Amino acid sequence: MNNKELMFAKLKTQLSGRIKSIYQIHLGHQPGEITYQIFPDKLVVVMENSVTKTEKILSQNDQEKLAKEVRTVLNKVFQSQWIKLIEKSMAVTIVDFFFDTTISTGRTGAIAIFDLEPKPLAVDNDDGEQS
Amino acid sequence: MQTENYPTRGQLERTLSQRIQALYRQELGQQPSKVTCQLFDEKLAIILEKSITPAEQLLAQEGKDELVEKIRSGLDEVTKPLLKKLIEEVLEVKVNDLLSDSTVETGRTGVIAVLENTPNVRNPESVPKLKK
Repeated sequence: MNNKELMFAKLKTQLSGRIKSIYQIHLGHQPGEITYQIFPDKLVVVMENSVTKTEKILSQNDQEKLAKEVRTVLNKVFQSQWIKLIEKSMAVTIVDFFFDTTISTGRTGAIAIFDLEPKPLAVDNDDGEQS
Repeated sequence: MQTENYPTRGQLERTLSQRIQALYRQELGQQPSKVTCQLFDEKLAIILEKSITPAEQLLAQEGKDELVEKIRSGLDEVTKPLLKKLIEEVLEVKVNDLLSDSTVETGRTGVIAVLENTPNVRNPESVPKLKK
């Protein structure tokens, strides 16, 4: 395993632990396996068993629409937390984020698109402050 | 089929991208400016640029976010089964799950297809393996 792979392995462990703890703290639910695929411009994450028992019960008892509404709200809450976690862990800026869940399979998928625009270099002003 | 008769991973991804562009043009009257498909392990990631209809963009500019959300959700329900069928047809594998989301402000749509198997390609070593 080279340095880059080692770094990514460490990152995945860190991210998985933090993502799972969000669900545990807020929903009392322990998600399943989380898998990652990194590309130069994006990160793809798939999380198994991400749906709570409440949503499953609703969905299985002719309340699928309500279950979907619950999930839409929950995903809105969690989306910003995922973005912050990925940005902080990977030292990247995310310009677009896609987040969706299938209640019947319990699977959640996320795609984070990175900002690849080069950042302007900080230049010293005459007064010594940086712009 | 002999391995040498299979398309390469790149050929398969390009064919799928073109077919998805055509599907959006036909069904929504909105051809995405660019569609990128990337196979990895038993999954497929798709990014569609400029995939949001002008009507949705106009409504979003007018602050009708809730209505845009409803339209997007309705359109997703229509396009998801069609997209699933198209992926299955081109890759010749079953799609077990299709996760899709859009951002109206950027006009981008992101899709993850979870496949039953890795599709047959001439150069299987080029398909990245999923990192757990």
